[in-house]
Amino acid sequence: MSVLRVVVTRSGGFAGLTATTEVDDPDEAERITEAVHRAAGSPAGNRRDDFVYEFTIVTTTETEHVELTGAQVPAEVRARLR
Amino acid sequence: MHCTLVPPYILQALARHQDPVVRDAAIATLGYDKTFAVSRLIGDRDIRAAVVTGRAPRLHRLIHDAQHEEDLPGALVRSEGEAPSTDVAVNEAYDGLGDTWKLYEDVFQRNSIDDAGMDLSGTVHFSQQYDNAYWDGQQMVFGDGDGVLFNRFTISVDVIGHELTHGVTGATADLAYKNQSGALNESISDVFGSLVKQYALGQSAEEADWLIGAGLLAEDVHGVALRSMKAPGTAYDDDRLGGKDPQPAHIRDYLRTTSDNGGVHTNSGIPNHAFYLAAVGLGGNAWEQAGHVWYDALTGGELQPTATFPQFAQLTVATADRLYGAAAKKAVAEAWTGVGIVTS
Repeated sequence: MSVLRVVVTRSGGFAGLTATTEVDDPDEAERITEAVHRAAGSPAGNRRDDFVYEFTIVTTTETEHVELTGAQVPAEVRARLR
Repeated sequence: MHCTLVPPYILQALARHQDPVVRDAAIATLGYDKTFAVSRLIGDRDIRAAVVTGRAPRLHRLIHDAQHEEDLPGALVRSEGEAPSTDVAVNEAYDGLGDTWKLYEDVFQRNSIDDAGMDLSGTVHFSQQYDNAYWDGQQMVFGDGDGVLFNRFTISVDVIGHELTHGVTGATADLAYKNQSGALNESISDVFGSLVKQYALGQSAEEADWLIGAGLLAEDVHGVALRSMKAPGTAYDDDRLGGKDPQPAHIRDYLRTTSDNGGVHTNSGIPNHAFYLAAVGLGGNAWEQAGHVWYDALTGGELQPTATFPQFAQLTVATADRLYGAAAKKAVAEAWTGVGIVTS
């Protein structure tokens, strides 16, 4: 099983806007997937007006959805949607 | 055993005295600090407030600079009473927190976020090109914006009032940040954020612009603000923001989504518009009758964390009746009918 692509969607924040990007490069998609899985165990925080991130991770065998708060997502992943 | 030369019934009478100095001294002498005994004894809400807070209204602002990093709170750059900074974001945060504190103290007799004189802490220059502001449970955090779509988030005083109000909601009804209760949480922040601006400018409900985030959108973005309480769905229309302002003004257009905790920043348009209609219907300044009805509903202890729109609507109608009588009840009920929510 290897990661083919990751779709990153950011919603919420004070402005309540939604933005999406797709990472098709398998190496980068793999790095993001690893970062997302690590971040899933970190504190979600109790922020109001935080961003909400949804990751759709498509592998050779399955499609996985992971939702994280802005407090959880590492800066290098957030930068994909700046 | 509490001994005093002045009989308790005289102290109890003095505890109701109009002069706060006499009142506070009597309460302190009664030895009831941090208890509700006096308020139960006398049944006076003002005395209860004085007992709970145990001190005079306290404004203490602390403005920090994250210097484009993400460590909070960052370097302390302006404390209460210090001279203005050369940094406009620092001064906007300081002044905006002051305006917000003033609305809560002057109009609702609320002594800061926790009603006990809590420090008001804000951090500016958070992260890089950060298009957001948030409340982290302890303090407010403001980004500089990206400069292309968004200006700095301190630019609009209602944004500052919005964030501080998240603290007030957290200290009171603590509305769950998901689906309808989450949209009510957001709406409460927009309502009091707008009231901060209206009170500071001395504008009546008819005169106010009812915009949230006016000035926040960069110069060439097609839009006037992020949200409009007067006309939800009309604040902007720009492809770079994903198209048109998606806020509904009526329950039939409620957005069902899993994004943004169930569309909390979108569906807030419905209760936002109900507040606008109530304020205009009641007339005068929105922070007077309409503001007091919403504030009492939020802080009165009856609002459940999982409240729905109809439950909140019903509570505001009952509150309007209790505080101001039948005509006010009718005006608030009609406001909710205007967004498709029928109350009894």
